[in-house]
Amino acid sequence: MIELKNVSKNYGQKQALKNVSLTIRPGEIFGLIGHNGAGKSTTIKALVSIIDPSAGEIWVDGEKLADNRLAIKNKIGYVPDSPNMFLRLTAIEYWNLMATAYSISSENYQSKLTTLLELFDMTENQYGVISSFSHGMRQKTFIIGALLSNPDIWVLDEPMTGLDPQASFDLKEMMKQHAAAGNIVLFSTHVLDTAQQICDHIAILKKGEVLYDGTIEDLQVQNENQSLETIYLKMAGRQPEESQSVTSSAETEGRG
Amino acid sequence: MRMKQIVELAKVNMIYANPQMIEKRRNKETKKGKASKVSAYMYLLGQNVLLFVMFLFLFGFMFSSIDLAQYPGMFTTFIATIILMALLQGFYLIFNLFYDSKDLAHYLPLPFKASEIFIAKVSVLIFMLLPYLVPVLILLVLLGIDAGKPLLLVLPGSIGSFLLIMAVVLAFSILLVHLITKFPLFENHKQGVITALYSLSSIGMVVSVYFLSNRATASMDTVGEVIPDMSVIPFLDVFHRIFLEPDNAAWFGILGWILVLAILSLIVFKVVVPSFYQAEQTTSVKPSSSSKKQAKNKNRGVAAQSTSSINQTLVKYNFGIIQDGTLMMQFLSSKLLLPLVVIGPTLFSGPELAMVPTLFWPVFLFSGLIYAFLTLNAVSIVGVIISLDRENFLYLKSLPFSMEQYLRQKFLFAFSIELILPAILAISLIVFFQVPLLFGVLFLMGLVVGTFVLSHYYFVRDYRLLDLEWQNLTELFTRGAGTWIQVISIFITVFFGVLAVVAVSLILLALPPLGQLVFSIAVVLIPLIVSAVVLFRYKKTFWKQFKE
Repeated sequence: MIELKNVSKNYGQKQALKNVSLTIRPGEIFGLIGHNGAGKSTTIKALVSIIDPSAGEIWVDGEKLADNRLAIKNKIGYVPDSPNMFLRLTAIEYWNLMATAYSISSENYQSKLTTLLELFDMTENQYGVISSFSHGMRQKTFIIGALLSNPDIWVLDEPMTGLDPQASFDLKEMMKQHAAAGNIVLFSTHVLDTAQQICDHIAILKKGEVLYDGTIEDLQVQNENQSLETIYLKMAGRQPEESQSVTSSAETEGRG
Repeated sequence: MRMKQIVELAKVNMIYANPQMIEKRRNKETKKGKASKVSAYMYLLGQNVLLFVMFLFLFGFMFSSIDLAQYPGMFTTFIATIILMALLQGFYLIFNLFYDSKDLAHYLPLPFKASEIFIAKVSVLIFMLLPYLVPVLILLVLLGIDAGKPLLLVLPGSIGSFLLIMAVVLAFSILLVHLITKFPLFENHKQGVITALYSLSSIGMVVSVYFLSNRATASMDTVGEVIPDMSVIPFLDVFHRIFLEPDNAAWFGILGWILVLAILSLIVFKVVVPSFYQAEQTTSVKPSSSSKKQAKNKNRGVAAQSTSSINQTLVKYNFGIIQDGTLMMQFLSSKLLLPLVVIGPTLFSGPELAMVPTLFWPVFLFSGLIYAFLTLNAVSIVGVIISLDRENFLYLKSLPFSMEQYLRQKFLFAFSIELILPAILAISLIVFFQVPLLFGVLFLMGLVVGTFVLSHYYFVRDYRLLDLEWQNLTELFTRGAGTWIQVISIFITVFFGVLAVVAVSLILLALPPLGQLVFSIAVVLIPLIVSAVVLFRYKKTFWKQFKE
C-alpha cells in the first residue's frame, strides 16, 4: 500500500503540491489526472525519490520512504514522463544497468528480457543507441527497463505517450494483469478515455491540490452520470460551453 | 557497498566520460553494419592502457637524462608541475563526470546507494587521470634508481608514494570542484564559470607542458656541465628525502601527507558525497524560470513584439544554442591555444616588434589575414551555427519572416563571436610587445577582413552540408572531410601562412625603395581585392536565394 500524507512541495514561492493525501491499495490501477502543471509528475517524482517533499510523509508497505529509500526503490519500477535519459547508452547497456540495479539474476533477466523484447517489438533495436531512437522507441526502452525486475509497484508517468496502438493496448493489458495479481499500478495521464478504460481509482489534481479522490463510478453517480470528460472539465477546467466560446473567439481573432 | 553495482555503474560512467570516442566507434560500427565484439567500456579501457604505456615510455625517456638524486629542486618542481597539470585536467573531468553529465538525476529513482554512484565515478576518474599522473611514477622510480637503491625497494616505494600523491590530488580536486559549484557565482553564471574553468585548464596544460619540455631539454643540452638546481618546494621534498635519506623528518613528512589525505577523504565522504546526491534531489525538477521573472513577463502581457525585441530574442536564442561544453572547448582551443602554441615561441624569441622598421607595414596586414586563417576553421561556431538550429530551422522557414534577415543576423552573430577572442588576444599581444600603433591597426584590419571572408566561407559550407539531425557535435565538425584531413589542412594553412609572411618580409628587404612601395601595395591590395570578389560572389550565389 502507498500512502501520501499531507505531502507538499515548494519551489521558492511556487507551491507545486499542497497537502496532498492519497492512499493506493494493492490490486488497484490508480490514475492521476490533471492539466499540465497540476502536480501529477511532482507527486510521482516524490514517490520515486527524485524529489524530496518540502513537507509531509510518504509510506510504502508500512515503511517510511525517507528512512528506507533503497528497499522501497527496489519495489518500484518507474517510467519517466520524458524518455530522455541515458541517451549515450545502447538499449542493451541500459537494460544491463537496470538488471544490476535491481539485482536480477542473469537467468531471470534473460528470459524476462526476451519476453519483453518480443512483446514491444524491440528485438532488432536492442543494440541501438537510445539517442537515435524515436520517442516511442525510447518509451518502450524505459518501459522494458522498468518491468525487467517484475516490481510490485509500477509507477508510470504518461506511459502511453508516443506508443503505437499495439504497444499501448499491450501495456494496458499488462497493467490490468499486474493489478489483478494484487500489485499496484500508479500512472498519470491526460487521456481521460484511458483512465476510464482501466482505472479502479482516480485522483483529479489542480494546481497542486487534490480535487477528487475515489472511483470513476462514484464520481459519475455524484454527477448524474455525465461523461468523465464533462465532469473533469467542470471540476478542473472551463465549462464546455465556456470552452466553446473561448475557442470560437480565438479563431475569430486569429483571422482578424 | 555492492561491487557488482559499482562495476556496472563504472561501465556506464566510462561511456559518459568519453562520449566522443564512443560516438566515433559507434559510427564506425554503423558504417560496417555490425557491432564490435569488444564492449564499449573495454574499448575505452584498452585506449587508456595504451595511453598509459605510451606516456610511461615518453616521460621515462624525457626524464632519464637528469640525475634526480642530485637535483631535489628540479625533482620537486617537476612533481609540482605534473600535479598542477593533473589538477587542471581533474577540474575538467570531475566537472564532466559529477556535475555536467546530467546523469545523476537519472539514478535517483534507481536502487543504487549514493556511495556506489560516487565510488563508480571516482574509479572512472582515477582511470582517466592516471595517464596525466604517470610522470610522477616515472620520476619516483628514476629517483630511486639514481639514488642507487635496489629495484625491489624502489618499485613498491615509488608505487606507494605515487598512490599517496594521486589520492591527495584526487580528493583535493573533488573538494575544490564541489566548493566551486557551491558559489553563488556558479549558480547564477554556470556556463560562464564552466568556460572559465575549461580555458584555465587548457591554458594551464599548455604552459605546464612548455615548462616541462623546456626544462628537460635544457638539462639534455647541458650534459657534462653542472647546471644550477631550482629551489626545493616544501612538502614535496619529503618524497625526495624518503628515497635518499629516510630519516625521521622524512617519515614525519610522509605521515603529514597521509594525515592530509585522511582529512580530505573525511570531508569528501561526509560532506561532498551526501550533498551531491541531495542537491540533485532538490534541484532536479526546478521550474525553468523564477517566479519574479514570471511576474515580470505577466506584466508585459501579450503585446506584439517589436522588431528590435525579435532581434534581441534571436541573439538570445543564438547564445543559447552555442552553449555546449564541447563546442566551447573547441572554440577556446582554436581561438587561444592554437595561436599561442604556433606563434607564442616566435613572439617570445623572435624580433623585437617595437623596433621593426616602418618598411614592414604590409607584413602586419598580411599577418592579420594569416592569423584569421589560423584561428578559423571548420571546427568553429560559424561553421555549425545553422545546423545547431536542428528542427527549429525547418520550423522557422514556415514562419512569416524573412529568412535572409534571419540568416544574416545569425551570420553577424557568429562572425562577432569568432572575431572577439582573437581580437582580444591580438590587442593584448600588441600592447604587451609594444607594437607601433600603425602596425597594430593594420594587423587588426587584416584579422577583421580575414575573419569576415572566412566566416562567410564556413557559414555557406554549413548550409551546403546542412545536418539538422545530428546527435553529437563531432558529427558536424567532421562533415565533408574526416578529422585527420581537417587537422592536416590546419597545419598546411599554418605552414604556408608562416612561409608567406617570411617570404614577404625577405622580398621587402631585397627590393629597392620603389620596388618596396609597389610590392607593399600589391601585398595589401591583392588579398583585399580577392576578398571583395569572394564576398560579391557569396552575395550573388548564397544570399540571393533567400530574397523574397
